[in-house]
Amino acid sequence: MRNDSATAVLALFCVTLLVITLAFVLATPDGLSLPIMASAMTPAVFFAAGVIAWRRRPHNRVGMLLLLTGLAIWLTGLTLSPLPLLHTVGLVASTLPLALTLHLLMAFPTGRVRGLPARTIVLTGYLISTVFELPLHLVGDTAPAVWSSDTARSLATATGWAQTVLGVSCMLGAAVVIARRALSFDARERRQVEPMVWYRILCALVIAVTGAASKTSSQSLLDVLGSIQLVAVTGLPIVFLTGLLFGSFGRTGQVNEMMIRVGAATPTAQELSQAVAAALGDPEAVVVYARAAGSGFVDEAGDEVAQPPASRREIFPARHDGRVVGGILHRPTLVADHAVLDVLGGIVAMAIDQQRLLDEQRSLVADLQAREGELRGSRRRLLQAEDLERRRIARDLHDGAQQHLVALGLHSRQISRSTTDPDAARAAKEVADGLVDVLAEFRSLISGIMPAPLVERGLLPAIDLLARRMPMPTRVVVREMPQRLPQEAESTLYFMVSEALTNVIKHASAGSVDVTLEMVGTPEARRVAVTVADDGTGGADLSGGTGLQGLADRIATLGGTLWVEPGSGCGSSVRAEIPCG
Amino acid sequence: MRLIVAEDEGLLREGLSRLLVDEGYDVVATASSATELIDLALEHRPDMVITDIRMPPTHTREGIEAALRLRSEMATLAVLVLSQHVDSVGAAELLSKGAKGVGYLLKQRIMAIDPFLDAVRQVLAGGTVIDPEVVESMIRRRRDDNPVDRLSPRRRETLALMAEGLSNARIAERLVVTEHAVARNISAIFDEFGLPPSADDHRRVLAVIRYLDRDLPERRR
Repeated sequence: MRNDSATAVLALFCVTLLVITLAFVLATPDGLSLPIMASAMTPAVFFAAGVIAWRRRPHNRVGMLLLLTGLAIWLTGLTLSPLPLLHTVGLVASTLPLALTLHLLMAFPTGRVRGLPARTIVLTGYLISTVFELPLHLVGDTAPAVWSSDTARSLATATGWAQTVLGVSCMLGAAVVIARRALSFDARERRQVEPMVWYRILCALVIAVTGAASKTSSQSLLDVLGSIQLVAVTGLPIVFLTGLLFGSFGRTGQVNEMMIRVGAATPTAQELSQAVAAALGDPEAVVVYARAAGSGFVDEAGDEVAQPPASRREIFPARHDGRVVGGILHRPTLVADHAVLDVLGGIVAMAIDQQRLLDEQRSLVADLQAREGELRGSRRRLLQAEDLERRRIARDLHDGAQQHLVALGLHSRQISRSTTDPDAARAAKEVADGLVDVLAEFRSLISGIMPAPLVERGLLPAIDLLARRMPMPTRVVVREMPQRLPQEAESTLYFMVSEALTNVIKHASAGSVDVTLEMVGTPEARRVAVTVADDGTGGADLSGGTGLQGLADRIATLGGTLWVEPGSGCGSSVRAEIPCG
Repeated sequence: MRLIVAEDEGLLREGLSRLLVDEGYDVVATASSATELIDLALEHRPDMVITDIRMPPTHTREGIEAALRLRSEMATLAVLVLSQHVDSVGAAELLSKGAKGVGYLLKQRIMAIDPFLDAVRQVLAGGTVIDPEVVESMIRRRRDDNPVDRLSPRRRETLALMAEGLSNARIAERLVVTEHAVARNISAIFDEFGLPPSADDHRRVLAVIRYLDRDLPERRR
């Protein structure tokens, strides 16, 4: 919007200037003649082209140069003014359009003047049209002349000659510079810029010839050359505008597209280079990356990029947070608009930084995954170790201490039977009775550590035995089950069923319980699933007590899951799934 | 009567032997492992073997395997196995090759000396003695296809006592009913199990086996 209103103001200003000129033209006696009208309206073409170029390519100085050239031409039109001051201004500005045209010729298409010869030529052009112009007007008999001595007159004449010679030289020099630059182009570059090159050389030569003729030739030849120059210079804005819009207007779309792509997903190095090449119109343009340490760049494959790059290519640095993170290796001669390179540099920097972040993130994730795997492994080994330890303890109690107790019990019974001392008999009987109780406690203790049926028979018979001890009907339904599972999986599932059944007895006031064993999952990822479901009051949950929570941890260690469905008045269920095989 | 005692725990082995010797049995040898038991039994050809189930090397079910092996060699050999815990599967395995002269008791029963010696006598006489806890565990089994489930509580109780090796008179005594009522219940059990009339003792054994067999997991090969 700001661009729109600025354009409107600019356009209005230009139109006002043109109206002023038109007023002067109409005020002159033969104002309606074609040559006068044509030269008066030349600025209109520059203004129009300048406004359009400035609007479409705001970062390219060609638009501004077109506008300034138009303004300079307009100033020369002030000679038509009846007002002496304006007339004088018009006279003084008479060669300014040539200096600006020279600048335009040298600056197209990038808007910048590159190289020492070109810069010298442009600067000289401005000197000729200002410093060398003034003496011509300050010497003489008419205003604004201040000197009229002979010395001054001859100095003015000399200045005039110097101006012409230098001006012609500049134009010829410009033609040479443009031609030489064009000759150094390779086929692709030449194809892109060739039409502009010819037009620019032609323009420079026409101006040079006209300038030279002004000192030597007849008035009729001068008129003809003047007309040719007028046509050539008036054509300049049209040709330049076409050049600016053709091939660069389309590029803006590609830059936008590229920006969207970089924003949506981090492109690969290859995609990034392709997008840059498309946006720049340089098929060989590639993205290069700043070395992590030291200076210099490497390409996508990590190979060093020569500095300065070979075959007249340059690296445009891409900066992120003021740090060069990479660059665009490109042909500067193919870059019509430096602003495109600026934008591309920004996008490339963003993409490279994004890629860096992504790489960091990936390595972080890989690191975490490795650690998680390690942790999972060590948790499992701990569980296995605990399981083995439980088995060892249970076996020691079973085959050692328990047997001793039975032997002692038998012995004390025998004493109580054989002794004749009634006190000793009673004492021995008490010991034996106590040992019976101790043995019962021992059995339940061992069963809690690692039940013998589980060790000896496996999961299914052990669960069957648990079911039989239930005070309410408890069905064990086996849909499918491997013969044996890994020890730690068997004991975990056994303890889960045992805990769930204990909870049913304690809380559920259930009429019956179903224990279901089945295999679930895909053939590649089989899981053994054990469900304990009752028809009681419901309300089982993981948070109550440490029993189920501890089991959930054990099950998670084995890569499985424990679900507790509290139900609501229609029974609850506890289900465990553990990967197997 | 000539006996061999197999038990890996020394103190208990000696205590058990002494108890049996005191009772007038001839304990011809003692063994501390299943292989030793087999060798000694084949050598001495005793009337009865009393063996622990858990013995070296694996401490799981060596005793039952040894007992089954010996009974296949010596048809009349009476076998009493002692288990540290209720293992109804083991009991059913033991009975699967015939129930005559077979006993399965929890080890702590030794401490009740008289009933234990009673059981030894019964097994020696060709009876079947199953530990009440094991029987309880078997009867508690709930399976849709188990005929035991179709029995009334009283008949199930009667069956349990039969499995313990009790005679009709002893069962009547225990349940505080007439012997006639016990006989009627037992014949109803036979009918329920579809056992044809034959010598009562044989049918008794079959009835016990019938439901103990069902304790073997279907998945066993």
